[in-house]
Amino acid sequence: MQRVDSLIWGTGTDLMQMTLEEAGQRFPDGPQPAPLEYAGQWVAWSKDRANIVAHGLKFGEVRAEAIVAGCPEPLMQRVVGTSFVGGT
Amino acid sequence: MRFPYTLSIVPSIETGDQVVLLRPEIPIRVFGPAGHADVLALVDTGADNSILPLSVARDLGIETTQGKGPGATAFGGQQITLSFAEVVLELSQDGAVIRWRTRLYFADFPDDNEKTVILGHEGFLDYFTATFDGEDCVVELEPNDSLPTT
Repeated sequence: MQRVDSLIWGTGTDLMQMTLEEAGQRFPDGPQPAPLEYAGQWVAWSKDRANIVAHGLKFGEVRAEAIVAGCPEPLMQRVVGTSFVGGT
Repeated sequence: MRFPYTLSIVPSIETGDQVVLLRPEIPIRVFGPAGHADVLALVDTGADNSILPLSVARDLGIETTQGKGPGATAFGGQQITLSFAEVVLELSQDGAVIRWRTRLYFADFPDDNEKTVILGHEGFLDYFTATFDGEDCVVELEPNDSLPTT
């Protein structure tokens, strides 16, 4: 077994949290986040995740609206809108 | 399969300003008698079970059985009543497809504002070797020999 005399971390950068500007610079080409105004709702993303084609409180209604809007296989996302630590 | 984390805008706990968080949320396809749906689901190593809102089951025509046990306990102690069903799930990326049949749990939240999609150990993580790359913000999933077939 390898002996470890001491191991001390400094306060590192939180790689999982950044400003909107930093996110745009770091992930310019990937799917963008849902605006916070949709917190608590389901959003239906287009297949390429470039656009939100429908949103609302009811999963079935939002998905149906997306299909009617010409997106037969929307990607459904529940927008939490806060930090999430498990539970509901 | 390597899935980039999903970006989410939330108010900063410290300041209240809008910030972007990255979470290991990945797209998964859920099959039911009435069709299939693609949902973003959080890969959660702290969850014993995989749990979807009951509204997803209803939309896909999945008949669920009410659990006789006490349900699940969420962070903070909230009790969640669960039903369950055998469901086919699918991961896909760049033409590669992984599909399996498993037991999923469904939560009937009384408030429409309280719904989450969780991929925990039963039904999901049990069947994969999962590597969470915090620096590159990618979760890598390699199926293991326990993966059931459809």
